[in-house]
Amino acid sequence: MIDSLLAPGKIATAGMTAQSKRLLIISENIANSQSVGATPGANPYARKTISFKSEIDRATGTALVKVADYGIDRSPFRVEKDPGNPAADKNGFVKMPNVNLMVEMADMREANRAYQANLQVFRQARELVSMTIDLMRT
Amino acid sequence: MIDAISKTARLPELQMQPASAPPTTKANTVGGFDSVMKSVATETVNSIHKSEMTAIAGINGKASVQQVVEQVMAAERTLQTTIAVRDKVIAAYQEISRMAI
Amino acid sequence: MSEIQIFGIASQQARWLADRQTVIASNLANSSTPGYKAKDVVPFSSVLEGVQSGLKVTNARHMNDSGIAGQAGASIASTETRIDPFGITSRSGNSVSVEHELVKGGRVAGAYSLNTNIVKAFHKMLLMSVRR
Repeated sequence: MIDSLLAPGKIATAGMTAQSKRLLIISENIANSQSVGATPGANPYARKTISFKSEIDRATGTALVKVADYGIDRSPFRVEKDPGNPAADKNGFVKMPNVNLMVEMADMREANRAYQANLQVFRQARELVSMTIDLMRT
Repeated sequence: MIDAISKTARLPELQMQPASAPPTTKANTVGGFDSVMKSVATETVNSIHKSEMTAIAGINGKASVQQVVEQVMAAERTLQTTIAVRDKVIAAYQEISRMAI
Repeated sequence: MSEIQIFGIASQQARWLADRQTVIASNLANSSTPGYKAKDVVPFSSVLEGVQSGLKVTNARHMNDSGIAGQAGASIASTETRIDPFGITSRSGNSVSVEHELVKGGRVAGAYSLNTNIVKAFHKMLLMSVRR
């Protein structure tokens, strides 16, 4: 069993890493929310997903978090009528990415919140170590 | 630290033996002081050694921060106590050796 | 010599607080993990009871003369975790409440600060008392 004072820092780091990977996926989705296919009738950008899993760290015996899987959202693409678009099929319909900006924004807010919470844990763990070492001073 | 304090409490029994005792009174007293000084010194060395071992383990990442800090502080307490005991023992010895003359 | 006990108890509490902080960290790191249930440590009172019954049963030499219970890894009552009974489960099966965890974390920090300051004060007092 390793140092209980140093373990929270390690765990919080794993949490922050996971949430920043999540934010990366979200920003990719937002950036590509209007990206249509290159040729007529082609599929547009498909929304990417990410999922987490909890993993027990061998050294400390504590539960870390890791990215379980990256995935593609299989929900159907929106269809818009836009005949002038290079990606329009013979009927003038364009398939738009299945990205819902509202959903992505809400997800981003939650990811940010989780990131901040992990950061708070990290700071506090550092504070506790500092308090302990300070005991030895004079 | 409890051991060190109880040693201080035992000091009165190391005073001069009554006159009816064997003539090696002073030798007995010296022997008594001797063992106290020896155990005080041993305890100090042990305490510092233990604290040093824990500190090295701490530097190597084997001991936890809490363990290292606690060990160092305990060594400091023991050291202060044994120094105080040593000083008292030496003072008592000097006092007694003055009386003999 | 009743104040000598404080170092042993403070040591146990510091260990328990660090363990609680670790569990809180795990909960917050897994706040988005599906199916993860929030955990917490057993209350400190049961850790203390373990210490007291330990002292009755085991040899007092297990504590060195400053009251520290040997190796930190082999504390007399090891900290166990249990599922937090107050967690509310989301649709994905996750029961972590971020605010609840952060509030617990704040309490841990406060208690730890009190702990270290108490130890510091008693350490200073003991050194002073043997000085003259």
